[in-house]
Amino acid sequence: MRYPPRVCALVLLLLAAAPVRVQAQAGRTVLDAEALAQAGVTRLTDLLPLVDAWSGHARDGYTWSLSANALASTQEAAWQVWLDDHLLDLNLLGTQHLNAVPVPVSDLDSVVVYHRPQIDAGTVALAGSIRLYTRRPRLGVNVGGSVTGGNEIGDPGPFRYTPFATPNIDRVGPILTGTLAAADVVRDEAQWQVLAAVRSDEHHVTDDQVVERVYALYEEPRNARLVLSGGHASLRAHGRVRPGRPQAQIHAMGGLNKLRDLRYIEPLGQEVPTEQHTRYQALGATLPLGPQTMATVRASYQEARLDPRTNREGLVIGWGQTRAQASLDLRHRHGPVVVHVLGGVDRFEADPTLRLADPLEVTTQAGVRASVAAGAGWTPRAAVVVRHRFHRFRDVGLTATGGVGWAPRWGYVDLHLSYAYQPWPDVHALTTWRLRGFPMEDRLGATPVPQPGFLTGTRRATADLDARWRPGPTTSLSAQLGARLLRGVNVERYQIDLVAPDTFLFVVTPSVAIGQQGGVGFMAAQVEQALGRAVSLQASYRYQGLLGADTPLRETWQIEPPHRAAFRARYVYRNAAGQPRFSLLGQVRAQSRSLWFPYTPAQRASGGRYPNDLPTYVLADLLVRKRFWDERFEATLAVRNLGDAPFRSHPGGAIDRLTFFVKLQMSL
Amino acid sequence: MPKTPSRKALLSVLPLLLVSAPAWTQTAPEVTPPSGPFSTVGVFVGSGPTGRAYGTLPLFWQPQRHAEAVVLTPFYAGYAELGGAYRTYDPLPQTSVPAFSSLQVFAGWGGVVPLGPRLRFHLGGRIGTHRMSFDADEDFEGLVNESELMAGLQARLHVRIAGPLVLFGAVTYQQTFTEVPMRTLYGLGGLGLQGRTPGWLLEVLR
Repeated sequence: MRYPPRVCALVLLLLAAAPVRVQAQAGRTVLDAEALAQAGVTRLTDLLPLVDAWSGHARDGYTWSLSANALASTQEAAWQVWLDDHLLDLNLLGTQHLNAVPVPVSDLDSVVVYHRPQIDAGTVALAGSIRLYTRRPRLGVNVGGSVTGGNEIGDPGPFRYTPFATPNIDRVGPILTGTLAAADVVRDEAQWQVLAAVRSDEHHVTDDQVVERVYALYEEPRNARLVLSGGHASLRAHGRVRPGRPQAQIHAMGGLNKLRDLRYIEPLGQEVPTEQHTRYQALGATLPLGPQTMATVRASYQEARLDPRTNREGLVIGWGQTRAQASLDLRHRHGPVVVHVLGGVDRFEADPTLRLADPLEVTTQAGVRASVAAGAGWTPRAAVVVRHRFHRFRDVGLTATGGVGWAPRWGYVDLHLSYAYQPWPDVHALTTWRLRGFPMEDRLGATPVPQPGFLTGTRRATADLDARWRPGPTTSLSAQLGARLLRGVNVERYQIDLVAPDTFLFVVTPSVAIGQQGGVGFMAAQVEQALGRAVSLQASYRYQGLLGADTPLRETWQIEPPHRAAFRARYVYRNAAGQPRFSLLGQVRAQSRSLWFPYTPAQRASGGRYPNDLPTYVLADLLVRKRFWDERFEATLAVRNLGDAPFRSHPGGAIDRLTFFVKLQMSL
Repeated sequence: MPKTPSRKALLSVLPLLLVSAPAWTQTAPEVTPPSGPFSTVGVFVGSGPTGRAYGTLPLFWQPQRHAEAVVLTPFYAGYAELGGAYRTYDPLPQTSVPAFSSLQVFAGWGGVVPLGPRLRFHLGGRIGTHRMSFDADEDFEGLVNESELMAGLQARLHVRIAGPLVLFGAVTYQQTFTEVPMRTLYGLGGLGLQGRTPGWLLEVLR
């Protein structure tokens, strides 16, 4: 086949390939509703054990600091969350609550987790993203709900009344969700759908050392184990009109959530009682402009606050932020070539009442993305976006991605490269705002810690090589190789000390170091084997190591275990119609030792209670799910950490032991 | 004063017996029993003598008489069960600990070995929650009750007496995963009714 010269010129110019349509699995993990249900996913963080490329840690077992495929460290919290193609800005001062996404897991159609830098939907996602797609309601009115509760072992039981008494271990949850949805078709031409959802969640710290620390600090809440009590409500509407083909679609959503938590803030070395309020509204439309041209416009506005939560110390963090975004994506297909023209504006503003220097950050962006189905399975692609910081003329950032995919019958090979330069500071970093005058320590009654240096000009370059080989219809082998080069990344290191062993309170010594440059590399491999129609096996291994880094950056990355392995066995019983009626999932995950140098003084002062290295863990989970009455009811039984390993993902965090969950779900 | 667990347990399982009533009217054939998941359903109620405790528990408490009710059905492989048990624990005379009662709700799975036309041997495991209620005055209501994970193994012998009526005997060893484990062994016997699963119930289960 011959292509017009202009097409070839465009290909050579852009050096690129369509990322997701051809290489459906390269650089991403797709989890459909069935996979989520089989894995007993109740909170969104429950899906993380299924995604081998992501790692992280949590102090309270609820709020996870994540690193997506080594694209950014856990400290940066640079990964993104999208809901129905709208970016949800959940990041407040470097803390992201993935579980705060205002949608019940049971209403998700699929989750796509990206492990590579993406330029998509008019936005740049450099450090990985989790994209949630909601399930379209069935025609008519339908209601649904679920209740989940659990228990971690280790309660004192009747021995509380004996000399063998031990501290109480609290329950897990409850987590309650409810949805009301309606959908209809109007005159065979248009379709509308509305879905309203509410969710309530409680999280109790079952570990006594966290409870002791919190209780020593604050009188309120009276139940020091209830670290989080949250709820959210949302309303989403989706309409489709069909004046002709292709279809036009309009999508609107809005919601709010409220979380009361005890938030650990690194520079303070302690939990701070906060109440987080988030509101968001988003509107999107896809409009056909011609037989081969489509326009997608999106706009969103989000408001988030960290308000005071009653406590005996009178601590008020008092942070607020708003973010407004608008984007345009013009897509045109010409034969084998697909070209997107992108544009957008992003406005971030800190609470004006804080009277900070430079509270407003406005950036505009414009770019182009193109791919070519070049025949014989080859698909080159490229994208470039230029970003401009609006009120500082010289601040121009650049993001470029490119690669090539080859998809023969036996699998695929895909190379993906990216480069990003951003000359302005991260608006989600606490340091950025402390340097602009946010009086965090004054408001929290804490001893000021030195302000770290101010860095600009972050540069990141990444390379990913993915390959997959299917030697037969039931076997699949895949491998990934990647490298990341980081420069000018603002990663802070605080030394965590201890002053009061009786109360086990942290204190941060006044020494701060800044990491600037380094490199991270990884290699990973997976094998999947199906045994008949009902059983499938999957094994994976990943090694991640430093390619050289300055000391703070090295210490930031060494908290991630270098070796990780997982084995999963799945049994699914399907009825004659092919619907899954019963599933059994067994999962064993292992991770090697991780090093936490900043906790070396804390380890000495606490006699090892807060260690500066975490040992190798082997964690086993067993999940059983049964559906009843034509999908109307579903019961899930989950036993996590079956071997009762004293798992702790962070030196100052909770120890999670064997835990038992039951989830009951209804959909009528 | 010792409680009367068997009466309470029997009352608590009465709804289960009523729900499964349609199944009793259809006697399962003894030569070629129906096969496939959920093809039959059985409701079994039993009680037993004083249990035996191991480890630290017998230093303070003595397990008393107990009662158990389970619903059994063939599963995709082996059998599945759903049930509950009521047990009480009396303090030993020389201790000052309170008595407590426990309600256990569990699900289980196991295998069946036919030993003859009327004889079946079941061996399986169960997992569930163990809710304990202490006979003590506490300032905080939440301390009076406590729930914990439990797991156990059970061996059962079923003898079909006549029609849907089944006589059974069972031995259960279980552990409750409190920080100091509670390990107990119980024997029990009782009666059950087993028959074809009613159509409406089969539709729900499948």
